[in-house]
Amino acid sequence: MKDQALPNKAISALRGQTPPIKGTHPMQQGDGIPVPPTHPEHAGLDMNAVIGWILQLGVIISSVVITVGVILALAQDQLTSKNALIFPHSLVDVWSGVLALQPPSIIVLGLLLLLITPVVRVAASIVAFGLEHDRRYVILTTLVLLILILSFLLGKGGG
Amino acid sequence: MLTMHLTLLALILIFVCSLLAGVLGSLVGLGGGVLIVPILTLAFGLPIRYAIGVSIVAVIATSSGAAAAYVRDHITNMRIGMFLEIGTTLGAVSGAFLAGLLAPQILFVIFGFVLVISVAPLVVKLGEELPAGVKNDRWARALQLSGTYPDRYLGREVSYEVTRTPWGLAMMYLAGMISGLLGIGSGTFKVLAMDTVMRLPMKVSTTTSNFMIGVTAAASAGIYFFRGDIPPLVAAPVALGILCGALLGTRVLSRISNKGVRMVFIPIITAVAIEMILRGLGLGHF
Repeated sequence: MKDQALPNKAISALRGQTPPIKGTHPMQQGDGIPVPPTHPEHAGLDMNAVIGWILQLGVIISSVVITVGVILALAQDQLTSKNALIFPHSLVDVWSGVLALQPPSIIVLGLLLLLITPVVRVAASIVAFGLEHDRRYVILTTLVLLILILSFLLGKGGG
Repeated sequence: MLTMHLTLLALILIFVCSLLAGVLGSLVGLGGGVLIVPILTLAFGLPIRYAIGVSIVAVIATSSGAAAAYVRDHITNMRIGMFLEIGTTLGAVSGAFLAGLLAPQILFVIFGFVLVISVAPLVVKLGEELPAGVKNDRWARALQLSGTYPDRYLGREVSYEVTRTPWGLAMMYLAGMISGLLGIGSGTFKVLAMDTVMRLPMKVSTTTSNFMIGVTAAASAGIYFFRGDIPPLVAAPVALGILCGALLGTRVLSRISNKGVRMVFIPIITAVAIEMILRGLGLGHF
């Protein structure tokens, strides 16, 4: 049983150097180590693919919303006639503009969706590392997310 | 009150320029900012404040547009990206604190010259397809930073190790500080830290930088938005153009060599260096 303590470390050291094997959970490779319960739907998922999907979805949704805004602006002849430097930039104004189907507000909504994709990605990575039982990187990534939030708050305070 | 009326032709031109910026940015791991800001200010007369706001959108569009493909292709090293992101984000926070204390002009000149000097090792390594003889340092081993990526150009899985990790982290801190101080993206410094210092394959460096610039930019995106610095009618063609360009760029990257990527990177980094020096000397309009 003394040897059984080692594989866990050895496997995780190997993991970075071997191509990810689809369908096998890293913990399942060491025989003798109890496989921790995971949700069956997460078990064989390639987390890189999932994060790729999330990003792609965010990018597609935001570009569709932006395109709809641009087409509406073209149709209403607002794209070139309006002063491009006057636009809604508070969440309340944007939201009421979207409900009124105003093209600039719809474009801003699409831009906002685009701007939050990296944050969603960091949050998704925390889950991904969590599912890989990589506690060190869960902590590291959470730290990054916290610093992101901190720098946002600091920046806002400073104007 | 500032006014700006865009013509349809101007909007189409902005879209096309953004498309090019997206292709280049996604290839070499820079935000489109360094390319977009001069175009918007010089060619279209957009006030600098708005140009910088739009460039934040450009950086995130480049990053997210390319990342979807790179992450699934397993070229991006998420561990290295996340680990180094701590240095970058902390650097950005300290840069924001120091911003009032240091004269930005001098900093622009200093960092511009740093970039000029850093072109030299890139030129020396121009013939090198993959870094040879790199051994994991203690940090890389503890943090499992080494990895593999499938190289379609070479037609095989390339494995690599990581060295001088603390120095790479220190340089990332500096890169974050530069973006916090000067309000510019620092993709160039990030690529240099990973390529020249940590000795990663060029493609891993640029795609991992690509991931990181989006996260760093997102930290300041909120500030720019609520300040009203992101005009939607200008940002829309930029965002759409960059997203299309980034998509194209990801197709190109897997098919060209690491040497090829470096060849694209060198003239861009030189242009960025000159831009920074000119701006520091008060000669640039951007």
